[in-house]
This record gives sequence, C-alpha cells and structure tokens, in this order.
Amino acid sequence: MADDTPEADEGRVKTESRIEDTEVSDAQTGVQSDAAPGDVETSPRMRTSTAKPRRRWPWIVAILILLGLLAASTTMTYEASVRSNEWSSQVDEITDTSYVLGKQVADEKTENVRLNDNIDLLEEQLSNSKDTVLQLSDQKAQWRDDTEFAQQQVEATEDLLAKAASVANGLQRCTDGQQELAETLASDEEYTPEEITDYQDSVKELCDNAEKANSNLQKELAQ
Amino acid sequence: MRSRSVAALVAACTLALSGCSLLPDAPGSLPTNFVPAPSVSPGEGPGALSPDGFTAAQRMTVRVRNVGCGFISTGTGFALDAHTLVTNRHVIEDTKKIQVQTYDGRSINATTASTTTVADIAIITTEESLGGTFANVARQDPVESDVVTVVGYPKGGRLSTVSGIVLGESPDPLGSAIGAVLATTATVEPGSSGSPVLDEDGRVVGVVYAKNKSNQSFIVPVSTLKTLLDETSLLVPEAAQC
Repeated sequence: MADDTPEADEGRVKTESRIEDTEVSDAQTGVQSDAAPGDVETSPRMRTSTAKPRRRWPWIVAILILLGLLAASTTMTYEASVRSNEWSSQVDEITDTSYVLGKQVADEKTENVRLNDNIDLLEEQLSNSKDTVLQLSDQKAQWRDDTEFAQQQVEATEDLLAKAASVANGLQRCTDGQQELAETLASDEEYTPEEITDYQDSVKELCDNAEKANSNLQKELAQ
Repeated sequence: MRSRSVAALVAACTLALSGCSLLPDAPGSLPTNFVPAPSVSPGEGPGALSPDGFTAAQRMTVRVRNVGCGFISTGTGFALDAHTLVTNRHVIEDTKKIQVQTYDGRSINATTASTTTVADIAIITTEESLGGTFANVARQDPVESDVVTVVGYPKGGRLSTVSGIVLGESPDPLGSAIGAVLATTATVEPGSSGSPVLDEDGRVVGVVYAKNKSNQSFIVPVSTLKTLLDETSLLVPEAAQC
C-alpha cells in the first residue's frame, strides 16, 4: 500500500537515476571508484555483472561442436549418396536381370505348354501301345493255350490210334487164329483131342483179349 | 538461459546426426554362377517312368499255364527275383509242364516247382530270366480298411488291375491253410489265383488264392509267405504227374 504513494514513486526514480549515473560515470571515466564498497549504493544487477564477467568459451565449444557435426553430416551425406547410387545401380541391374529372367520364364512356359501337349499325345500313344502289347500278349497266350490243348488232343488221338491199332492187331490175330483152328479141324492131319482143346482155348483167350481191348477202346472213344 | 539453449541445440543436432550413423551397407556383388537344383527327377516318385510304360506291378506279374494230364489251366504268379516266382499250389497241381508268360508275351518254361501244406502257395523256378522287375515284399500284413490292389490274369485273359479294401482276418474258406487268411473286397476270378496283392506303396502284402459267392477274395498274408520263404524245409518239390 505504501508503494503506491507519490513519495514512494519518487524515491524509486531517484534510485534508478543514481544507478545510471554511476554506470555512466564508469563508462565515461574508465576508472573505478575509490569509494569503499559500503559507501556506494549499488543494485543486485550491477553486483552480478561485476562479479561474473561474460564467459565466451561455451559459445566457442558449441560452435566447434556444431562445426564438427556439420562436417560429419556432410561426410555422411556424401557416403549416403554414394551408397544410394550403388544400391540404385544394383537395383537397375537386378531389374534388367529380372526382365531377362521373366522373358526366359515366359519362353519356358510356352515351351512347357508345347511339351505338355506332346506329353499328352505321347501318353495317349503309349497307352494305345500298351493296350496293343497286352492284347497281343493275350492273343499269344490264348494261342499257346490252344496249341497246348491241340497238342494234348494230338497226343490223345495218337494214343487212341495206337490203341486202335493194337486192338485191330489183336482182332486180326483172333481172326487168323480162328481161321487156322478151322483149317486144323478140317485138315486130314490127326491131332489129339487135348491138342485141339488147347488150341481152341488159346484162340479163345486171344479173341477174348482182343474183344476186351476193343470194348475198352470203344468206351474210350465214346467219352 | 542462453547457454542452456545452446546446449540443447547442440544436443539436438548431435541426436539428429546420430541417426545418420546407421547408414545401410553397400550392396554386395550379385551371384553369377547360381544354378538351381532340380526339385524332382523324372525317374523318381510314384509316377516314375518305366522303360516301356508298364508299372512295376505289371512287369513282375506273369501268367502261369499248367499243362496237366489231359487238361490245361491258368493262373497268375509274380517274380521274386530273376528266376523265382510265387503262385498258388492249386494252380500247378497235377502238372506235367508249367509255362509262364510275361506281360509282354515272352514264354518261359519252369524248371522246378515246390509246394507246401501250410498254405496255398507254390514256388516256381525258371532257367531263363523272368525280367528286371521283382516284387518288393512288405514287412507287415495289411490291416482292416487298408486299400489293396490286385494285378493278375482273371479267366486267363488280359492282364488287369482291380482294387479293394481289406475286410480283416477270416478263417480259410477252403480249410486248407494253417492259420488265418485275409478277406478283401477286390473282385477276382478263376485265373487270378496267385495274383500279388499290393498296398498303396506297391509292396506285396499277400497272394490271392480264393473267392466266395459274395465276390470277396481271400489272400494268403505276406507274413505266411515270408515264413515259407525263410523256412525252405516247409516246401516240398512237386513231382510231375502222368
């Protein structure tokens, strides 16, 4: 409340004027006052300026650091540019290679389609060929079966013929024996009854065997 | 205050420049001799090519002709090696002469035949080579629901392939085998006897030997076959009849 009074304002102005006077005096004379520290009324700002002179080394350090950073950034920018160009170059190379490979793939696909068509055709031909081989093999097997069967028939017929020939031979011998027996009985030569009986028995046995063989043959033929 | 501002400015510049220290490396040279390795060879895999387009199963399967005493019968067999093949005992019963014919029509005469009473299995040997493809015998029997393939000469006709599913163990419908056999849904016919039964990897897991009226086929499991092959004393030479 007291500071709002005119007196108080006037006193503050006075103080400010005194400070300015002192600074002007220092600047104009360049001579420090001889007055004792306690004799001169000074403000806190003035005391600081007097106690801590301006230090410039932080600025120098900062500028040096910034210069270093600028140099580093320049180097890195250059290096990044070089690597970017290398990558770009390789990308171009890969792109060219990709186009070449893409064309090769397209060509191979076309060739693949053509070969697949050929494969389909060949598979069909192979299937037909296999079918023909199996058919011919089957025909050969059937033919061999028929041949073997015919061979068996031939062998059976030959066996029958041999048996028939044997039967015919037996019957012929029977007929011959009976004829000889009849001639013997009709001849003038004298035979004992025993001899005639033996002869008749032998002829009968011969004929019985022939008839039995003939009967067996007829049965076999009937089968 | 100014000193602090300057210090802050310097610190900010330093911090900003520190980001530039992470420059990317220069690109390396591009490879010039890279040759990619092929991912698959035409000679490998399930669809591999064979010399003549026939599968291994077809190449190893043969048609067996039994020229008997007044009769001719046919069956199927498969090659274990160049001179040995497997078929059924009943296929070569009462034989006078055994002939085998390969898938491509080659005829080969059998030299010896051996049978066993343990199962309906016969082993035939030949003097002439059967070919270059032989059976890959599985280590284990198939189990229920396994998919199997039968390659053979049904009714003595063309070489054919049918598939089916293993139904499981079953008593021998003919009562001639010792031990259990396996029933499958693969449709077989007379002439299929001795056909190899293959799993999905093409390995032999059994030998067809019978069928029933329900069109179920019966197979001798591979474990029995392996036992017979290991115990040759169980095999008896089959004498030519007539």
